[in-house]
Amino acid sequence: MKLFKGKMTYVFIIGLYIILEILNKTGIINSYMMQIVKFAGINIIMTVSLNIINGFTGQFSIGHAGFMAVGAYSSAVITTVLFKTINWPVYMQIPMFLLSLLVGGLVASFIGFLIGIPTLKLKGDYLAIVTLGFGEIVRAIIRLIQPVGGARGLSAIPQYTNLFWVFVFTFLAIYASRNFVNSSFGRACISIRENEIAAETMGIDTTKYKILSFTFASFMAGVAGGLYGHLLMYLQPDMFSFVKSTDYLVFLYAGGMSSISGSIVSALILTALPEFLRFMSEWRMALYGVLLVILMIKRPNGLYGGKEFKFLQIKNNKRMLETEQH
Amino acid sequence: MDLLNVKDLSIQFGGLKAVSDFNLSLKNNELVAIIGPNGAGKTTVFNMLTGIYKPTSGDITFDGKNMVGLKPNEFAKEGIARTFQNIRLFNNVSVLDNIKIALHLKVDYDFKSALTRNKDFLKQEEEVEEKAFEMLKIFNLEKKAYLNANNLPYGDQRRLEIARALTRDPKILLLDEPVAGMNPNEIDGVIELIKYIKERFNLSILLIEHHMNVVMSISDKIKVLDFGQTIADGLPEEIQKNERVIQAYLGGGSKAHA
Repeated sequence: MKLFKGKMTYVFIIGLYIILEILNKTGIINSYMMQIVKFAGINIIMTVSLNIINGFTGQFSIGHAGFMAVGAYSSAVITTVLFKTINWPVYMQIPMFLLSLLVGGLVASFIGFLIGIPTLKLKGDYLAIVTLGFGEIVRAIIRLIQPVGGARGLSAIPQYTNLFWVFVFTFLAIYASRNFVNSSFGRACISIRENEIAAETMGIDTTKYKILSFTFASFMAGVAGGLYGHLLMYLQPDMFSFVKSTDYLVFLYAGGMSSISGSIVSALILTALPEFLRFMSEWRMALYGVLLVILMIKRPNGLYGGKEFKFLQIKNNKRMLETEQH
Repeated sequence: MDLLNVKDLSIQFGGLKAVSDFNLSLKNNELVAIIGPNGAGKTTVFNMLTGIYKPTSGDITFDGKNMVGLKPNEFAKEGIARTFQNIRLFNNVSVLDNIKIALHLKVDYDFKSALTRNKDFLKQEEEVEEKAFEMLKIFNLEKKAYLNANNLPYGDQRRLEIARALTRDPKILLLDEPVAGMNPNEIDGVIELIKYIKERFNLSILLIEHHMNVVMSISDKIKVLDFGQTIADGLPEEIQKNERVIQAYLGGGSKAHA
Protein backbone atom coordinates (compact mmCIF):
# COMPACT_ATOMS: atom_id res chain seq x y z
CA MET A 1 0.00 0.00 0.00
CA LYS A 2 1.89 2.98 -1.26
CA LEU A 3 1.19 6.23 0.45
CA PHE A 4 2.49 9.43 -1.03
CA LYS A 5 5.06 9.25 -3.74
CA GLY A 6 8.49 9.80 -2.34
CA LYS A 7 9.80 9.44 1.15
CA MET A 8 10.16 13.19 1.45
CA THR A 9 6.48 13.62 2.14
CA TYR A 10 6.58 11.31 5.14
CA VAL A 11 9.70 12.99 6.41
CA PHE A 12 8.04 16.36 6.02
CA ILE A 13 4.86 15.40 7.84
CA ILE A 14 6.54 13.58 10.71
CA GLY A 15 9.18 16.25 10.94
CA LEU A 16 6.58 18.97 11.08
CA TYR A 17 4.78 17.19 13.86
CA ILE A 18 7.95 16.74 15.88
CA ILE A 19 8.98 20.35 15.40
CA LEU A 20 5.60 21.58 16.53
CA GLU A 21 5.66 19.38 19.63
CA ILE A 22 9.11 20.61 20.53
CA LEU A 23 8.18 24.23 20.01
CA ASN A 24 5.17 23.71 22.22
CA LYS A 25 7.05 21.95 24.99
CA THR A 26 9.74 24.61 25.06
CA GLY A 27 7.12 27.31 25.25
CA ILE A 28 8.08 29.03 22.00
CA ILE A 29 4.60 28.29 20.74
CA ASN A 30 2.10 28.73 23.53
CA SER A 31 -0.96 26.59 24.00
CA TYR A 32 -3.19 29.22 22.41
CA MET A 33 -1.21 29.05 19.20
CA MET A 34 -1.22 25.27 19.37
CA GLN A 35 -4.97 25.39 19.52
CA ILE A 36 -4.95 27.44 16.32
CA VAL A 37 -2.85 24.73 14.69
CA LYS A 38 -5.35 22.09 15.79
CA PHE A 39 -8.26 24.18 14.51
CA ALA A 40 -6.41 24.54 11.23
CA GLY A 41 -6.19 20.77 10.93
CA ILE A 42 -9.89 20.35 11.65
CA ASN A 43 -10.67 23.09 9.12
CA ILE A 44 -8.54 21.32 6.54
CA ILE A 45 -10.62 18.17 6.99
CA MET A 46 -13.83 20.17 6.67
CA THR A 47 -12.69 22.07 3.60
CA VAL A 48 -11.30 19.02 1.83
CA SER A 49 -14.54 17.13 2.47
CA LEU A 50 -16.64 20.03 1.20
CA ASN A 51 -14.44 20.07 -1.87
CA ILE A 52 -15.51 16.52 -2.66
CA ILE A 53 -19.14 17.64 -2.94
CA ASN A 54 -18.84 21.14 -4.32
CA GLY A 55 -15.54 21.03 -6.12
CA PHE A 56 -15.24 17.56 -7.57
CA THR A 57 -18.87 16.57 -7.97
CA GLY A 58 -19.99 20.08 -8.82
CA GLN A 59 -22.92 20.12 -6.43
CA PHE A 60 -23.94 23.13 -4.41
CA SER A 61 -24.00 22.15 -0.74
CA ILE A 62 -23.97 25.08 1.65
CA GLY A 63 -24.93 23.49 4.98
CA HIS A 64 -21.76 21.52 5.61
CA ALA A 65 -21.54 22.64 9.24
CA GLY A 66 -24.70 20.59 9.83
CA PHE A 67 -22.75 17.38 9.27
CA MET A 68 -20.02 18.69 11.54
CA ALA A 69 -22.64 19.32 14.24
CA VAL A 70 -24.09 15.83 13.90
CA GLY A 71 -20.61 14.32 14.18
CA ALA A 72 -19.60 16.55 17.08
CA TYR A 73 -22.67 15.78 19.13
CA SER A 74 -22.73 12.08 18.30
CA SER A 75 -19.15 11.60 19.37
CA ALA A 76 -19.63 13.71 22.50
CA VAL A 77 -22.62 11.56 23.42
CA ILE A 78 -20.35 8.52 23.42
CA THR A 79 -17.63 10.01 25.61
CA THR A 80 -19.66 12.24 27.86
CA VAL A 81 -23.34 11.45 27.96
CA LEU A 82 -23.55 7.68 27.54
CA PHE A 83 -20.27 6.91 29.24
CA LYS A 84 -18.54 9.30 31.61
CA THR A 85 -15.21 8.38 30.12
CA ILE A 86 -13.49 11.22 31.90
CA ASN A 87 -13.57 8.97 34.93
CA TRP A 88 -12.08 6.04 33.09
CA PRO A 89 -8.45 4.92 33.11
CA VAL A 90 -6.36 6.57 30.42
CA TYR A 91 -5.71 3.43 28.36
CA MET A 92 -9.49 3.03 27.96
CA GLN A 93 -10.10 6.66 27.09
CA ILE A 94 -8.20 6.67 23.84
CA PRO A 95 -10.04 3.72 22.26
CA MET A 96 -13.33 5.27 23.38
CA PHE A 97 -12.31 8.53 21.81
CA LEU A 98 -11.48 6.83 18.54
CA LEU A 99 -14.72 4.88 18.72
CA SER A 100 -16.61 8.10 19.32
CA LEU A 101 -14.99 9.65 16.25
CA LEU A 102 -16.03 6.66 14.19
CA VAL A 103 -19.56 6.94 15.52
CA GLY A 104 -19.56 10.65 14.76
CA GLY A 105 -18.47 9.95 11.21
CA LEU A 106 -20.97 7.16 10.70
CA VAL A 107 -23.94 9.08 12.04
CA ALA A 108 -23.01 12.12 9.97
CA SER A 109 -22.59 10.00 6.85
CA PHE A 110 -25.92 8.31 7.48
CA ILE A 111 -27.57 11.72 7.70
CA GLY A 112 -25.69 12.69 4.56
CA PHE A 113 -27.08 9.63 2.83
CA LEU A 114 -30.63 10.40 3.98
CA ILE A 115 -30.33 13.98 2.82
CA GLY A 116 -28.84 12.80 -0.43
CA ILE A 117 -31.67 10.64 -1.61
CA PRO A 118 -34.52 13.09 -2.03
CA THR A 119 -32.44 16.15 -2.73
CA LEU A 120 -30.10 14.98 -5.41
CA LYS A 121 -32.70 15.14 -8.08
CA LEU A 122 -32.45 18.86 -7.45
CA LYS A 123 -29.92 21.04 -9.09
CA GLY A 124 -28.03 24.24 -8.43
CA ASP A 125 -29.91 26.78 -6.38
CA TYR A 126 -32.64 24.37 -5.30
CA LEU A 127 -30.10 21.94 -3.89
CA ALA A 128 -28.33 24.83 -2.18
CA ILE A 129 -31.50 25.94 -0.42
CA VAL A 130 -32.27 22.44 0.79
CA THR A 131 -28.75 21.96 2.16
CA LEU A 132 -28.95 25.35 3.81
CA GLY A 133 -32.26 24.34 5.34
CA PHE A 134 -30.78 21.06 6.51
CA GLY A 135 -28.00 22.87 8.36
CA GLU A 136 -30.51 25.01 10.16
CA ILE A 137 -32.80 22.08 10.93
CA VAL A 138 -29.95 20.19 12.55
CA ARG A 139 -29.24 23.20 14.72
CA ALA A 140 -32.90 23.59 15.65
CA ILE A 141 -33.29 19.93 16.52
CA ILE A 142 -30.18 19.83 18.69
CA ARG A 143 -31.55 22.78 20.65
CA LEU A 144 -34.52 20.64 21.57
CA ILE A 145 -32.58 17.60 22.76
CA GLN A 146 -32.25 18.16 26.50
CA PRO A 147 -29.97 15.17 27.25
CA VAL A 148 -27.23 16.86 25.21
CA GLY A 149 -27.84 20.19 26.81
CA GLY A 150 -30.20 21.72 24.26
CA ALA A 151 -29.72 25.42 23.92
CA ARG A 152 -27.48 25.60 26.99
CA GLY A 153 -24.95 23.43 25.25
CA LEU A 154 -22.98 20.37 26.25
CA SER A 155 -20.01 20.96 28.48
CA ALA A 156 -17.32 19.00 30.27
CA ILE A 157 -16.34 17.13 27.14
CA PRO A 158 -12.91 15.62 27.79
CA GLN A 159 -10.13 17.19 25.75
CA TYR A 160 -8.99 14.10 23.89
CA THR A 161 -8.04 15.96 20.75
CA ASN A 162 -4.34 16.64 20.76
CA LEU A 163 -1.87 17.54 18.04
CA PHE A 164 -1.13 13.92 17.29
CA TRP A 165 -4.73 12.98 16.53
CA VAL A 166 -5.24 16.13 14.50
CA PHE A 167 -2.24 15.22 12.39
CA VAL A 168 -3.41 11.63 11.98
CA PHE A 169 -6.93 12.48 10.91
CA THR A 170 -5.95 15.40 8.74
CA PHE A 171 -3.47 13.17 6.96
CA LEU A 172 -6.09 10.42 6.56
CA ALA A 173 -8.65 12.85 5.18
CA ILE A 174 -6.20 14.22 2.62
CA TYR A 175 -4.99 10.76 1.68
CA ALA A 176 -8.51 9.31 1.34
CA SER A 177 -9.67 12.28 -0.70
CA ARG A 178 -6.74 12.15 -3.04
CA ASN A 179 -7.26 8.43 -3.61
CA PHE A 180 -10.99 8.90 -4.08
CA VAL A 181 -10.39 11.50 -6.75
CA ASN A 182 -7.86 9.37 -8.60
CA SER A 183 -10.14 6.37 -8.90
CA SER A 184 -13.14 5.51 -11.00
CA PHE A 185 -15.33 6.80 -8.16
CA GLY A 186 -13.72 10.21 -8.30
CA ARG A 187 -13.71 10.26 -12.08
CA ALA A 188 -17.41 9.47 -12.12
CA CYS A 189 -18.07 12.38 -9.75
CA ILE A 190 -15.96 14.70 -11.89
CA SER A 191 -17.84 13.63 -15.00
CA ILE A 192 -21.07 14.57 -13.25
CA ARG A 193 -19.68 18.03 -12.61
CA GLU A 194 -18.48 18.44 -16.16
CA ASN A 195 -21.45 17.12 -18.10
CA GLU A 196 -24.13 15.14 -16.38
CA ILE A 197 -25.91 14.01 -19.53
CA ALA A 198 -22.71 12.76 -21.13
CA ALA A 199 -21.85 11.00 -17.87
CA GLU A 200 -25.18 9.17 -17.97
CA THR A 201 -24.52 8.00 -21.51
CA MET A 202 -21.24 6.52 -20.28
CA GLY A 203 -23.24 4.22 -18.04
CA ILE A 204 -22.59 6.21 -14.87
CA ASP A 205 -25.49 6.19 -12.42
CA THR A 206 -25.28 9.86 -11.55
CA THR A 207 -27.69 9.68 -8.64
CA LYS A 208 -25.65 6.94 -6.99
CA TYR A 209 -22.44 8.92 -7.28
CA LYS A 210 -23.94 12.15 -6.03
CA ILE A 211 -25.15 10.27 -2.98
CA LEU A 212 -21.76 8.61 -2.61
CA SER A 213 -19.92 11.92 -2.63
CA PHE A 214 -22.33 13.34 -0.04
CA THR A 215 -21.94 10.29 2.18
CA PHE A 216 -18.15 10.20 1.93
CA ALA A 217 -17.80 13.93 2.54
CA SER A 218 -20.22 13.98 5.45
CA PHE A 219 -18.35 11.09 7.09
CA MET A 220 -15.19 13.19 7.10
CA ALA A 221 -17.11 16.22 8.34
CA GLY A 222 -18.52 14.11 11.16
CA VAL A 223 -15.05 13.02 12.25
CA ALA A 224 -13.90 16.64 12.07
CA GLY A 225 -16.86 17.53 14.28
CA GLY A 226 -15.85 14.88 16.78
CA LEU A 227 -12.33 16.29 16.90
CA TYR A 228 -13.77 19.78 17.27
CA GLY A 229 -15.97 18.90 20.23
CA HIS A 230 -13.15 17.15 22.03
CA LEU A 231 -10.91 20.16 21.51
CA LEU A 232 -13.25 22.92 22.64
CA MET A 233 -14.64 20.76 25.44
CA TYR A 234 -17.97 22.50 24.92
CA LEU A 235 -20.59 22.31 22.21
CA GLN A 236 -23.51 24.57 21.55
CA PRO A 237 -25.90 24.33 18.59
CA ASP A 238 -25.34 27.92 17.45
CA MET A 239 -21.70 27.14 16.82
CA PHE A 240 -22.83 25.26 13.73
CA SER A 241 -25.01 27.85 12.09
CA PHE A 242 -24.94 28.95 8.50
CA VAL A 243 -22.08 31.28 9.44
CA LYS A 244 -19.90 28.27 10.13
CA SER A 245 -20.91 26.72 6.83
CA THR A 246 -19.97 29.93 5.07
CA ASP A 247 -16.53 29.81 6.67
CA TYR A 248 -15.90 26.54 4.89
CA LEU A 249 -17.33 27.82 1.64
CA VAL A 250 -14.95 30.76 1.85
CA PHE A 251 -12.00 28.45 2.52
CA LEU A 252 -13.07 26.31 -0.40
CA TYR A 253 -13.43 29.13 -2.91
CA ALA A 254 -10.24 30.83 -1.75
CA GLY A 255 -8.26 27.66 -2.13
CA GLY A 256 -9.71 26.69 -5.45
CA MET A 257 -12.47 24.28 -6.32
CA SER A 258 -11.37 20.73 -6.94
CA SER A 259 -7.89 21.36 -5.69
CA ILE A 260 -7.12 19.43 -2.52
CA SER A 261 -3.88 21.36 -2.14
CA GLY A 262 -5.79 24.59 -2.39
CA SER A 263 -8.14 23.52 0.37
CA ILE A 264 -5.20 22.66 2.61
CA VAL A 265 -3.42 25.94 2.03
CA SER A 266 -6.47 28.14 2.33
CA ALA A 267 -7.72 26.39 5.46
CA LEU A 268 -4.29 26.89 7.02
CA ILE A 269 -3.90 30.52 6.01
CA LEU A 270 -7.47 31.59 6.68
CA THR A 271 -7.57 29.91 10.08
CA ALA A 272 -4.37 31.64 11.09
CA LEU A 273 -5.08 34.97 9.46
CA PRO A 274 -7.61 36.35 11.96
CA GLU A 275 -5.08 35.62 14.71
CA PHE A 276 -2.33 37.51 12.93
CA LEU A 277 -4.67 40.38 12.43
CA ARG A 278 -5.56 40.60 16.12
CA PHE A 279 -3.38 43.66 16.51
CA MET A 280 -5.86 45.51 14.38
CA SER A 281 -8.65 44.83 16.92
CA GLU A 282 -11.95 46.06 15.51
CA TRP A 283 -10.56 46.39 11.96
CA ARG A 284 -9.56 42.73 11.98
CA MET A 285 -12.58 41.26 10.25
CA ALA A 286 -12.78 44.18 7.84
CA LEU A 287 -9.24 43.58 6.71
CA TYR A 288 -9.93 39.86 6.51
CA GLY A 289 -12.76 40.62 4.13
CA VAL A 290 -10.64 43.00 2.07
CA LEU A 291 -7.89 40.41 1.73
CA LEU A 292 -10.43 37.85 0.53
CA VAL A 293 -11.78 40.26 -2.07
CA ILE A 294 -8.26 41.00 -3.32
CA LEU A 295 -7.59 37.28 -3.50
CA MET A 296 -10.68 36.62 -5.60
CA ILE A 297 -9.86 39.48 -7.94
CA LYS A 298 -6.28 38.40 -8.46
CA ARG A 299 -6.96 34.68 -8.54
CA PRO A 300 -10.59 34.11 -9.54
CA ASN A 301 -10.06 30.38 -9.56
CA GLY A 302 -8.73 30.41 -6.03
CA LEU A 303 -5.15 30.00 -4.94
CA TYR A 304 -4.74 26.67 -6.63
CA GLY A 305 -7.76 26.35 -8.89
CA GLY A 306 -7.69 22.91 -10.43
CA LYS A 307 -4.06 22.22 -9.68
CA GLU A 308 -2.34 20.13 -7.04
CA PHE A 309 0.93 20.00 -5.17
CA LYS A 310 3.50 17.57 -6.46
CA PHE A 311 3.03 15.11 -3.63
CA LEU A 312 -0.71 14.90 -4.22
CA GLN A 313 -0.47 14.17 -7.90
CA ILE A 314 -0.57 10.68 -9.25
CA LYS A 315 1.14 10.89 -12.59
CA ASN A 316 2.74 8.56 -15.02
CA ASN A 317 5.88 10.58 -15.55
CA LYS A 318 7.36 8.47 -18.30
CA ARG A 319 4.21 8.74 -20.39
CA MET A 320 3.95 12.45 -19.80
CA LEU A 321 7.37 13.08 -21.27
CA GLU A 322 6.14 11.74 -24.56
CA THR A 323 3.17 14.07 -24.74
CA GLU A 324 2.43 17.71 -25.38
CA GLN A 325 2.07 19.97 -22.39
CA HIS A 326 -0.45 22.79 -22.66
CA MET B 1 -32.63 -10.77 -36.21
CA ASP B 2 -32.45 -7.03 -36.01
CA LEU B 3 -29.94 -5.55 -33.65
CA LEU B 4 -32.22 -2.61 -32.96
CA ASN B 5 -35.89 -2.56 -33.74
CA VAL B 6 -37.90 0.62 -33.37
CA LYS B 7 -41.62 0.58 -33.97
CA ASP B 8 -43.98 3.54 -34.27
CA LEU B 9 -41.89 5.63 -31.94
CA SER B 10 -43.54 8.93 -31.12
CA ILE B 11 -43.03 11.68 -28.64
CA GLN B 12 -45.26 14.56 -27.76
CA PHE B 13 -44.31 17.66 -25.80
CA GLY B 14 -47.61 19.15 -24.72
CA GLY B 15 -49.42 19.87 -27.95
CA LEU B 16 -46.39 19.44 -30.17
CA LYS B 17 -45.80 16.04 -31.69
CA ALA B 18 -42.07 16.23 -32.20
CA VAL B 19 -41.67 12.76 -33.68
CA SER B 20 -44.45 10.63 -35.20
CA ASP B 21 -44.28 6.93 -35.84
CA PHE B 22 -40.58 6.56 -36.40
CA ASN B 23 -39.64 3.07 -37.54
CA LEU B 24 -36.23 1.49 -37.85
CA SER B 25 -34.79 -1.96 -38.18
CA LEU B 26 -31.06 -1.80 -37.80
CA LYS B 27 -28.99 -4.87 -38.60
CA ASN B 28 -25.46 -5.84 -37.72
CA ASN B 29 -22.75 -3.75 -39.30
CA GLU B 30 -25.25 -1.50 -41.03
CA LEU B 31 -25.07 2.27 -41.34
CA VAL B 32 -28.36 4.11 -41.47
CA ALA B 33 -28.43 7.87 -41.90
CA ILE B 34 -31.22 10.09 -40.65
CA ILE B 35 -31.45 13.35 -42.53
CA GLY B 36 -33.90 16.22 -42.66
CA PRO B 37 -34.17 19.96 -42.17
CA ASN B 38 -33.26 21.52 -38.84
CA GLY B 39 -35.96 20.92 -36.27
CA ALA B 40 -37.22 17.79 -38.01
CA GLY B 41 -36.81 15.75 -34.83
CA LYS B 42 -33.60 13.86 -35.64
CA THR B 43 -31.79 14.58 -32.37
CA THR B 44 -35.07 13.91 -30.54
CA VAL B 45 -35.03 10.43 -32.03
CA PHE B 46 -31.47 9.98 -30.78
CA ASN B 47 -32.48 11.20 -27.34
CA MET B 48 -35.23 8.59 -27.24
CA LEU B 49 -32.84 5.89 -28.40
CA THR B 50 -30.47 6.70 -25.53
CA GLY B 51 -33.03 7.07 -22.78
CA ILE B 52 -32.70 10.80 -22.39
CA TYR B 53 -36.30 11.28 -23.45
CA LYS B 54 -39.07 8.82 -22.79
CA PRO B 55 -41.28 8.29 -25.86
CA THR B 56 -45.02 8.85 -25.52
CA SER B 57 -45.68 5.72 -27.53
CA GLY B 58 -43.89 3.08 -29.52
CA ASP B 59 -41.35 0.35 -28.86
CA ILE B 60 -37.61 0.14 -28.77
CA THR B 61 -36.20 -3.35 -28.80
CA PHE B 62 -32.46 -3.77 -28.61
CA ASP B 63 -31.06 -7.27 -28.98
CA GLY B 64 -34.47 -8.60 -28.08
CA LYS B 65 -34.75 -6.51 -24.94
CA ASN B 66 -37.43 -3.88 -24.43
CA MET B 67 -35.75 -0.57 -23.69
CA VAL B 68 -38.56 1.95 -23.24
CA GLY B 69 -38.53 3.53 -19.79
CA LEU B 70 -34.95 2.68 -18.93
CA LYS B 71 -32.57 5.39 -17.71
CA PRO B 72 -29.75 6.67 -19.90
CA ASN B 73 -27.09 4.80 -18.00
CA GLU B 74 -29.02 1.59 -18.52
CA PHE B 75 -29.19 2.21 -22.26
CA ALA B 76 -25.46 2.76 -22.13
CA LYS B 77 -24.88 -0.51 -20.30
CA GLU B 78 -26.75 -2.42 -23.00
CA GLY B 79 -24.32 -1.20 -25.63
CA ILE B 80 -25.60 2.00 -27.17
CA ALA B 81 -23.12 4.87 -27.36
CA ARG B 82 -23.51 8.33 -28.83
CA THR B 83 -21.87 11.60 -29.66
CA PHE B 84 -23.65 14.91 -29.33
CA GLN B 85 -24.55 17.65 -31.76
CA ASN B 86 -22.87 20.29 -29.62
CA ILE B 87 -19.94 18.28 -28.30
CA ARG B 88 -20.34 17.15 -24.71
CA LEU B 89 -16.81 16.46 -23.68
CA PHE B 90 -15.65 16.61 -20.08
CA ASN B 91 -13.98 19.92 -20.71
CA ASN B 92 -11.80 20.58 -17.71
CA VAL B 93 -10.59 17.03 -17.67
CA SER B 94 -7.66 15.63 -19.62
CA VAL B 95 -8.09 13.84 -22.92
CA LEU B 96 -6.89 10.67 -21.23
CA ASP B 97 -9.37 10.98 -18.40
CA ASN B 98 -12.22 11.54 -20.84
CA ILE B 99 -11.45 8.07 -22.18
CA LYS B 100 -10.90 6.62 -18.71
CA ILE B 101 -14.34 7.81 -17.66
CA ALA B 102 -15.79 5.90 -20.58
CA LEU B 103 -14.13 2.79 -19.15
CA HIS B 104 -16.05 3.28 -15.91
CA LEU B 105 -18.14 0.14 -16.33
CA LYS B 106 -15.06 -1.94 -16.98
CA VAL B 107 -13.65 -1.66 -13.45
CA ASP B 108 -15.08 -3.46 -10.49
CA TYR B 109 -12.86 -2.68 -7.53
CA ASP B 110 -14.75 -1.56 -4.46
CA PHE B 111 -14.60 1.68 -2.51
CA LYS B 112 -12.22 0.33 0.09
CA SER B 113 -9.80 -0.81 -2.58
CA ALA B 114 -9.85 2.61 -4.15
CA LEU B 115 -9.19 4.41 -0.88
CA THR B 116 -6.28 2.16 0.01
CA ARG B 117 -4.93 1.70 -3.53
CA ASN B 118 -4.44 -2.01 -3.05
CA LYS B 119 -3.05 -4.52 -5.54
CA ASP B 120 -6.36 -5.19 -7.24
CA PHE B 121 -7.00 -1.49 -7.63
CA LEU B 122 -3.57 -0.77 -9.06
CA LYS B 123 -3.80 -3.65 -11.50
CA GLN B 124 -7.18 -2.55 -12.80
CA GLU B 125 -6.08 1.09 -13.04
CA GLU B 126 -3.07 -0.02 -15.06
CA GLU B 127 -5.36 -1.92 -17.44
CA VAL B 128 -7.59 1.12 -17.75
CA GLU B 129 -4.59 3.25 -18.60
CA GLU B 130 -3.41 0.76 -21.24
CA LYS B 131 -6.81 0.51 -22.89
CA ALA B 132 -7.23 4.26 -22.84
CA PHE B 133 -3.91 4.83 -24.56
CA GLU B 134 -4.69 2.15 -27.15
CA MET B 135 -7.87 3.99 -28.02
CA LEU B 136 -6.10 7.32 -28.19
CA LYS B 137 -3.52 5.83 -30.56
CA ILE B 138 -6.23 4.69 -32.96
CA PHE B 139 -7.51 8.22 -33.13
CA ASN B 140 -4.08 9.83 -33.22
CA LEU B 141 -4.62 11.63 -29.96
CA GLU B 142 -2.05 9.93 -27.74
CA LYS B 143 0.39 12.81 -27.93
CA LYS B 144 -2.27 15.08 -26.46
CA ALA B 145 -3.29 12.72 -23.68
CA TYR B 146 -2.64 15.13 -20.84
CA LEU B 147 -4.07 18.25 -22.39
CA ASN B 148 -7.44 19.41 -21.14
CA ALA B 149 -10.21 18.49 -23.53
CA ASN B 150 -11.27 22.09 -24.05
CA ASN B 151 -7.76 23.01 -25.19
CA LEU B 152 -7.99 20.76 -28.22
CA PRO B 153 -8.66 22.17 -31.65
CA TYR B 154 -12.23 21.65 -32.82
CA GLY B 155 -11.51 18.72 -35.13
CA ASP B 156 -9.67 16.88 -32.37
CA GLN B 157 -12.53 17.48 -29.97
CA ARG B 158 -14.97 15.83 -32.35
CA ARG B 159 -12.58 12.90 -32.81
CA LEU B 160 -12.15 12.61 -29.06
CA GLU B 161 -15.89 12.42 -28.62
CA ILE B 162 -16.10 9.60 -31.13
CA ALA B 163 -13.14 7.87 -29.47
CA ARG B 164 -14.82 8.18 -26.11
CA ALA B 165 -18.07 6.72 -27.41
CA LEU B 166 -16.18 3.79 -28.97
CA THR B 167 -14.24 3.08 -25.79
CA ARG B 168 -17.47 1.74 -24.40
CA ASP B 169 -17.31 -1.20 -26.85
CA PRO B 170 -20.81 -0.44 -28.05
CA LYS B 171 -22.82 -2.49 -30.45
CA ILE B 172 -24.49 0.61 -31.85
CA LEU B 173 -22.94 4.01 -32.27
CA LEU B 174 -25.11 7.08 -32.70
CA LEU B 175 -23.26 9.96 -34.37
CA ASP B 176 -25.01 13.32 -34.20
CA GLU B 177 -23.62 15.65 -36.89
CA PRO B 178 -20.01 14.50 -36.53
CA VAL B 179 -18.67 16.82 -39.22
CA ALA B 180 -20.51 20.01 -38.28
CA GLY B 181 -18.22 22.98 -38.61
CA MET B 182 -15.37 21.17 -40.34
CA ASN B 183 -13.57 22.08 -43.54
CA PRO B 184 -13.57 19.68 -46.53
CA ASN B 185 -10.19 18.15 -45.58
CA GLU B 186 -11.31 17.33 -42.09
CA ILE B 187 -14.60 15.99 -43.44
CA ASP B 188 -12.74 13.54 -45.70
CA GLY B 189 -10.78 12.43 -42.67
CA VAL B 190 -13.95 11.75 -40.71
CA ILE B 191 -15.50 9.83 -43.62
CA GLU B 192 -12.47 7.54 -43.66
CA LEU B 193 -12.56 7.29 -39.88
CA ILE B 194 -16.19 6.22 -39.83
CA LYS B 195 -15.59 3.60 -42.52
CA TYR B 196 -12.59 2.34 -40.56
CA ILE B 197 -14.28 2.06 -37.20
CA LYS B 198 -17.36 0.44 -38.72
CA GLU B 199 -15.17 -2.37 -40.01
CA ARG B 200 -12.69 -2.63 -37.20
CA PHE B 201 -15.23 -2.59 -34.39
CA ASN B 202 -18.01 -4.35 -36.32
CA LEU B 203 -20.40 -1.55 -35.48
CA SER B 204 -23.87 -0.61 -36.50
CA ILE B 205 -24.07 3.12 -36.90
CA LEU B 206 -26.89 5.62 -36.89
CA LEU B 207 -25.82 8.91 -38.40
CA ILE B 208 -27.43 12.34 -38.34
CA GLU B 209 -25.77 14.61 -40.84
CA HIS B 210 -26.42 17.58 -43.09
CA HIS B 211 -23.40 17.12 -45.33
CA MET B 212 -24.80 15.09 -48.19
CA ASN B 213 -21.49 13.87 -49.55
CA VAL B 214 -20.81 12.22 -46.20
CA VAL B 215 -24.29 10.72 -46.06
CA MET B 216 -24.28 9.46 -49.63
CA SER B 217 -20.80 7.97 -49.47
CA ILE B 218 -21.15 5.83 -46.37
CA SER B 219 -24.83 5.06 -45.77
CA ASP B 220 -26.42 1.71 -46.43
CA LYS B 221 -29.88 3.19 -45.94
CA ILE B 222 -31.29 6.66 -45.43
CA LYS B 223 -34.37 7.89 -43.60
CA VAL B 224 -35.66 11.40 -44.16
CA LEU B 225 -37.53 13.27 -41.44
CA ASP B 226 -39.55 16.43 -41.81
CA PHE B 227 -41.64 17.90 -38.99
CA GLY B 228 -41.22 14.68 -37.05
CA GLN B 229 -42.55 12.44 -39.79
CA THR B 230 -40.65 10.01 -41.95
CA ILE B 231 -41.18 11.23 -45.51
CA ALA B 232 -38.79 8.86 -47.25
CA ASP B 233 -36.88 5.71 -46.48
CA GLY B 234 -34.57 3.78 -48.76
CA LEU B 235 -31.23 3.44 -50.53
CA PRO B 236 -29.07 6.50 -51.14
CA GLU B 237 -29.73 6.48 -54.90
CA GLU B 238 -33.49 6.39 -54.33
CA ILE B 239 -33.42 9.23 -51.83
CA GLN B 240 -31.40 11.41 -54.16
CA LYS B 241 -34.16 11.17 -56.73
CA ASN B 242 -37.11 11.37 -54.33
CA GLU B 243 -39.21 14.43 -55.18
CA ARG B 244 -40.61 14.96 -51.69
CA VAL B 245 -37.16 14.88 -50.16
CA ILE B 246 -35.81 17.26 -52.71
CA GLN B 247 -38.63 19.69 -52.04
CA ALA B 248 -38.49 19.46 -48.26
CA TYR B 249 -34.79 19.42 -47.79
CA LEU B 250 -32.43 19.58 -50.66
CA GLY B 251 -34.07 22.82 -51.71
CA GLY B 252 -35.26 22.39 -55.28
CA GLY B 253 -33.40 20.78 -58.23
CA SER B 254 -31.59 17.49 -57.82
CA LYS B 255 -28.19 18.85 -56.87
CA ALA B 256 -26.87 17.42 -53.62
CA HIS B 257 -26.18 20.17 -51.10
CA ALA B 258 -22.65 19.71 -49.76
